[in-house]
Amino acid sequence: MVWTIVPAIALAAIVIYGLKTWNDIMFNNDEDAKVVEVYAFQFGWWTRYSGDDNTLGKADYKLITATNPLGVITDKNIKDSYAFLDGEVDKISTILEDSKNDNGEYFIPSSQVDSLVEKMERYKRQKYRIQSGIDKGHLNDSIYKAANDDVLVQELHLVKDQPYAMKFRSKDVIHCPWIPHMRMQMNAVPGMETGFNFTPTVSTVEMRSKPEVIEHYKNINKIHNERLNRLGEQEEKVEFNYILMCNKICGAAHSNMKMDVYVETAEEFNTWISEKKTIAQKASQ
Amino acid sequence: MAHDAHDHHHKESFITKYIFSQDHKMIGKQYLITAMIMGGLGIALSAFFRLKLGWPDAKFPILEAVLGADAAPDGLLDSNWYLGLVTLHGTIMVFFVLTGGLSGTFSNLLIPLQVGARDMASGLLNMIAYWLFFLSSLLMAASLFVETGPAMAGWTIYPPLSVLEELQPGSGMGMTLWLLSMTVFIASSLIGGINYIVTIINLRTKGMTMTRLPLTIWAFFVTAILGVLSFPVLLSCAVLLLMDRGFGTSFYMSDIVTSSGALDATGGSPILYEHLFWFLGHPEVYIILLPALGMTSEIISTMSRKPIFGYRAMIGSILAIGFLSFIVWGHHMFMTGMNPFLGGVFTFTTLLIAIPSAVKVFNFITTIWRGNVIMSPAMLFSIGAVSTFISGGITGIILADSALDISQHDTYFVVGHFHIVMGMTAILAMFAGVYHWFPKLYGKMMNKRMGMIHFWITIVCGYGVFIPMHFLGEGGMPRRYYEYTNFAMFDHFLDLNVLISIFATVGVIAQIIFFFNYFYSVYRGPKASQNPWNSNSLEWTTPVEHVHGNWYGEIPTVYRWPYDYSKPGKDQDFVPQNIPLEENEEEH
Repeated sequence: MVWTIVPAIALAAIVIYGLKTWNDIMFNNDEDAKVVEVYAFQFGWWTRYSGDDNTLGKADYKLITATNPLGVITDKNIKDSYAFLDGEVDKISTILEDSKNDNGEYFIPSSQVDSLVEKMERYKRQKYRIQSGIDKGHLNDSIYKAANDDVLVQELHLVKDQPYAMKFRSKDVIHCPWIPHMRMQMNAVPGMETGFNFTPTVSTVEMRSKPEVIEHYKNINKIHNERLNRLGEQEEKVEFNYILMCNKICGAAHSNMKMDVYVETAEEFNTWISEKKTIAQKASQ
Repeated sequence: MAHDAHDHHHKESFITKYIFSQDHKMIGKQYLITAMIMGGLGIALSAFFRLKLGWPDAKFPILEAVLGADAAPDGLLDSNWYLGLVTLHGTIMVFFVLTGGLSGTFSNLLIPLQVGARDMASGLLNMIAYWLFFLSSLLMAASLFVETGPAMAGWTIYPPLSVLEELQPGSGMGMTLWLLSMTVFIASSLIGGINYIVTIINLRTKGMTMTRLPLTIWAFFVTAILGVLSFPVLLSCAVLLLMDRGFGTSFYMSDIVTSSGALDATGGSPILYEHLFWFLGHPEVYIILLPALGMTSEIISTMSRKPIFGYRAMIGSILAIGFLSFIVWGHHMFMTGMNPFLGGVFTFTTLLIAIPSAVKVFNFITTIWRGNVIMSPAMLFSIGAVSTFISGGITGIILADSALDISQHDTYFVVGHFHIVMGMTAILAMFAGVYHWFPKLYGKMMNKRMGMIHFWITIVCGYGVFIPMHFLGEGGMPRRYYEYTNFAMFDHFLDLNVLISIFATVGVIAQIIFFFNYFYSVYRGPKASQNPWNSNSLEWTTPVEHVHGNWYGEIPTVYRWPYDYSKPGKDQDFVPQNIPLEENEEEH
């Protein structure tokens, strides 16, 4: 009997406490939580801070270009996409024109023609979809103003003891932002937004000064440099760092997707972020 | 039954006897041999990528020699091919060895023999099921020879990675072959499964009531039902994926940008795929485990010379596991972004499954308890299977809890967990089955000493590989990492990975002992007696040599359950099922 009751109680405790924790993490509607987006792509990460309004500007994958890696919607980005798409369409039609002989027949294989035409049609459709679904003309600046103070970077700085409401999106395949030290993970899924709430409680500096971490990293440095020596590479000093990595199989460089994470004081964070340009500042340059 | 037709043997040519045989015993052997070849391939692949993980910087000329210069230039495994090997290892072991091989072999061999039937309900369908299985094995193996490499998206092949070739080279021809192979495989499982169900329901011999069936049959029965109900879902899942790949639909794709720009696909969701996949994927775990545990029950009872403890509770727990396995699939998806409300639901249902599992474990242990245990290789492997079922089950409780899963999901902790609880339990039970029923398969005995050595190396290496993986997982190391040395924080796991790789390599090489023992015994093994283990169930009343129709003359009638071991008041410590009850003798 004891053998039945004790495990039953233990299991019930695990379940109840587990569900409570789960709900805290998943359904936390903390007003103070700072909204930060981590955006995954093959093979790397972007971080988007929501700025003073604590609201992320809307984004759409159709607007993604080299200068707008997250597809954030602003009037300028919409115009840029048009320019990009028109340019691509022009480029393809030029190629198609140049591939005709004097009789107006293509001298390149018809499969190549088909794929070029298909690509061109896709760009045209994309432009149409932006025009019909996203572009609100002169209202753009007011509708999409939340994006103006967003800041785009490729590292993650967090303030100690500050609750965060993380948002995740993905550009191509399923990725999974994973910070092992903070036991934070959630898949980033193309086509939808996922989220995770947490509060970092130990800063990077504090971690580095913990005796057990110092001891541990002494060991890691030894192993690390032994390996580098073996490979004939320059020795280096390894310090403790929080790291965000990818935890869902996503392709050849799955194990290369890393982004440094720093947990620091509010002052340090403010100094750091104030040096970064917001989307509006970049646009006005 | 019109058994007269079987009494005078029709002449069989080589082809009808050994190749297109409709005899369930021969088909069982065909399944086993195919599974052994696929198993050899599957574990060889794992040994190859373990070389990379154990010694990340070393060059292994053997890799280039075996896999070719594309896959391992200069003996250094290519990162795409690493994922390809991981994917094929998983697929082959889960589907071709532990599903096709395990249920295919033993359902075929044991169902007609243990229920007292001349053959399967349909010998022809049975033959077709095997040949489809063979064809799907060929297709899967063929994907290793495709120029762009085999499927590389992990054995779960989540879209969009598995859809677009520009995201991963393996998602071209390799993935097409994977899907084709699985489609054929599903057809094979369904045909086989329906045949098993019909045979068990309709062809039991006189007196063989459902509560006199050996637990193996109960396990095969529920397994076949699980397969018939869940494999069609995988089929639809695969068909939709094929359509996304080939016909421009977007069931699983939405808002994707690749190097060729923004795709049209919109409105689909990879989460839909995950739901469909795991709706099969979780019952699949029990499609693997139930036959394994069923065979373990039979062997443990026979070798302990004791009736199985809690026969009806065992049946109840098989049924309960079968039912629950359909409502727990979401525990694979806590971290996928599905509605978090479901996290709580699936935590609850998943932990419920611990109850019937624990019932089974306690019944195994109480059956062995104070038994007159005979340590044959089959018994050792069975005890090993119970051991891994316990140690893997305990870590399962951690993973079942959605909150705890956050820190373990997709890390090596999961890899360690499911390899112990599912992989090792099933493979050990499969070995146990081979050692136990080898006399029935070939009329020969396997070498006991080699069996013992095989067991000890296998179990030590198995635990040696998978227990340390739990530490890697606790340390945060994600699975399917080609180059974990990119992260200095994992450097202190270098040594542990070497240890794991050594155990893995030794464990893989040690399987040669089994292969040798198997084929040596087929030709040179001592001849088996009719009932070498003094067992009760009906298969040991058939003649040692294989005859079409299984019994000369009448099929025996069954008078008792199959677990009358050490019954008080009997001369022998076993009473076969076909011995009538004496006057005043109680049935159990």
